[in-house]
Amino acid sequence: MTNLRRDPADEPFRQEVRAFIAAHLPPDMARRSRQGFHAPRSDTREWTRILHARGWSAPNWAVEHGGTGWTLSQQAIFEEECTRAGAPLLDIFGLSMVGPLIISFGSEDLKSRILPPFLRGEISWAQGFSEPNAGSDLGSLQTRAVVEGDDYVINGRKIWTSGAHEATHIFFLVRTGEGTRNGLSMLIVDAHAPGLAIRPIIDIRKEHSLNEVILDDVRTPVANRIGEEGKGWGYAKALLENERAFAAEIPRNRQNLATLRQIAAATLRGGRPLLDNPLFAAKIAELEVEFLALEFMTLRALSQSASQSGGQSGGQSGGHRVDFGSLLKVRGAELVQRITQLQVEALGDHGAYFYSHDAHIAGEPQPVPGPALAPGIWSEAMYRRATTIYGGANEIQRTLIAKQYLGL
Amino acid sequence: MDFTLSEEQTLLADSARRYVEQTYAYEARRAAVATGEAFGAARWAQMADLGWLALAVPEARGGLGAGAVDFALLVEQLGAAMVLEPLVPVVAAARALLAAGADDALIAAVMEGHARPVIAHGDLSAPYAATAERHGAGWRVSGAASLVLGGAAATHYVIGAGTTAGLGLFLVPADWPGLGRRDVRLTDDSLGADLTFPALELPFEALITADGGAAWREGLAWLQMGLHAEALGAMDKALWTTRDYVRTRRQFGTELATFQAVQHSMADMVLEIELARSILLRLLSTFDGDSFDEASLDQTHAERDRMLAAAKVHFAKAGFYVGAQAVQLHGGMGLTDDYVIGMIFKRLVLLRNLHGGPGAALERLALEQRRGEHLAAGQRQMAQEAL
Repeated sequence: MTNLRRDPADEPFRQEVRAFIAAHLPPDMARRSRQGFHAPRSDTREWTRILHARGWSAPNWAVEHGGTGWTLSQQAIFEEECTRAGAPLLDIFGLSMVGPLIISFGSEDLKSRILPPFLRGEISWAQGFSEPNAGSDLGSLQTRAVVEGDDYVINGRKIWTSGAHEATHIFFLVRTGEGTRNGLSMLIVDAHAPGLAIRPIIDIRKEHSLNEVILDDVRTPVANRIGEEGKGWGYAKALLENERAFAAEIPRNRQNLATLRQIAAATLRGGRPLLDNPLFAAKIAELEVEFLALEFMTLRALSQSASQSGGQSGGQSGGHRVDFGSLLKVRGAELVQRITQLQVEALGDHGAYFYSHDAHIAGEPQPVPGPALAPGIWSEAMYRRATTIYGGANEIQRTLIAKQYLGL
Repeated sequence: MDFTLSEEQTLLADSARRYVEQTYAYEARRAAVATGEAFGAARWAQMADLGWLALAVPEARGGLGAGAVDFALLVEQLGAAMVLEPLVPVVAAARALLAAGADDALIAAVMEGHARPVIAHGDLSAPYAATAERHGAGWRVSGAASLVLGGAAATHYVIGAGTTAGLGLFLVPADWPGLGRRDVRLTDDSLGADLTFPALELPFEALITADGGAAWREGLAWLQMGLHAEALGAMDKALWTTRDYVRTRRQFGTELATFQAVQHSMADMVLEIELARSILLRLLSTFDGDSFDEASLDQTHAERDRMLAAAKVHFAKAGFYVGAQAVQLHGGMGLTDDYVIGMIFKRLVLLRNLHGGPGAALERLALEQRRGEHLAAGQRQMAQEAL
């Protein structure tokens, strides 16, 4: 039965979460993640470790796999409270992509070796899918893995690998046969394995988060393969679909909207706060409306995947099931860009100053003027041009929507 | 939270869809408009028989007690056919009357289809339409209400009039002396009414409640929510009609559907519609079921008002986009009077600009955001000082 209301038991839960975060979130970590700069992965790992001690490091996983078993609305409350307090975002690669894949398709051995240390904050993931000649068109990737004894030997090049230099493990999509449907496999590789070279790509905001990964006779045990050989394409699609369900970037968008309002309240334009300028306030309100709709669409998607029992669902439209992934990806990605762009606009002249990421991480005062929130704003807006490119560019998603939803 | 539809809800939506498909094709609507009648009396009786007028009435008051979600599901289907019968305005008025404590006989008459009260709302951005003062043993009510939806088909008007004690709700028969009614043809071919009542003399018992603020808001909230659900149905109809058209229409030796520009434009129609459905569900989550309990009403009202404004902003944008794109992709066909797509566009434009349009809603959200942020900034300041 449709029930759109929140559970009354949610309020005590919220208080419990809030109290825990207030007591355990290190203040310097909150400072680093409140601003637009990338928080270091070490913060994510440390926060994961703190949450793990309370049994909360995998909010979206079932209890049997070490998760919390929380309801969707509990998960949403947890995320709201984390955002509110400025906790670093958790490792989305692990929690929402490769983790669920290992849970669904991985061997018992793989699960027992990988999942517990991940939950303890000892593993950071990077995703090795894209190649110089395989971006949105993943089927044409060329990095190849060949079995030799108990190992796969991997050769090739991956690119745009976010966070590879800070990761402990990378999950690669590689070629183990011919064709797309049966020719790809998913392998987990130690990020420090011999023959694996990580070369930095300095990005548009002059930071190092992207990498090129060169694989030269890199060995990984056959036991590190997720699921069956040759089924990687199906797994990657499942993973990307899962990624897209999170691609509405609800936590990030919520945080960015809050920051936008703070900047607009703190910035004087013509002697009064920008937030009091009706034109600017209306622009923020428009983004807020888009967010409110997108957040509920995410809940519809999660509710649909939680009830795969085949019953009719509010996720259904016009009598057929909706593939929400692409819908969320397109508009979530665009919303990230629209909000961050408006943040830069709110900064006005202060948006022209270059703030140093290194100084920010080190906690040094920025030698340029501007509101306290200014560092990282421009940087984030520049970097997030990637949202409409990664995970299957928005053009690809629109074609997918036309195909899957409309049958065109 | 659970978005799964129950079996009853699925049946309700299916039966409404079948009703519309079998009896309310666009040609049938055109024929109904051509009769000059504000609504079809036989259709109204059918709707009463089907239980649709009792759906949103609590069981304790003799209704089906189905709630807002069921109502929206039903109305979405009717919206696809742009039905002329004033189901949404009448149910909205019934909700106001229920909240105001109107007697069971009146509510029963609504459910049976004999009474068709509508709210004389006028401009929603104004607090209410009229003022009232004691006059002899009764009341004298003065005011006006323009663009009353369903006004030409109504048997009664619910008039909200300010008294010295608060907002009084009055129930006035449509043929009451001194009530000036002018039926007006709207751009979607439906009939509304403009009301003027410079000095309406009413008996004392015409006053349903002297403290009708919450009931008035309840009625208007159901009216706006219902119109959004209708718009969703109309958008969905535009989408699938256009999909079928681009699959058959050929240019340059191939179907329009094969052009990526067409596909991407239609993908954006899908996006607007699914976001509209999402924000409608979010709005519905703020509607109370059967409870008219003061405390719970107060608690949910602020959030409901915020979501009404947010839904208005999104539906205005989505409705226009989807309607305009449907016209665009139909080419010249979209501009003809006898084809449904043009009418859907006209209807969506009408709904967009109704009740203050997106501008008033956006202004309300912006104002609230400003208050909220200044409050939060104050709290942050205090927290900082406490450290």
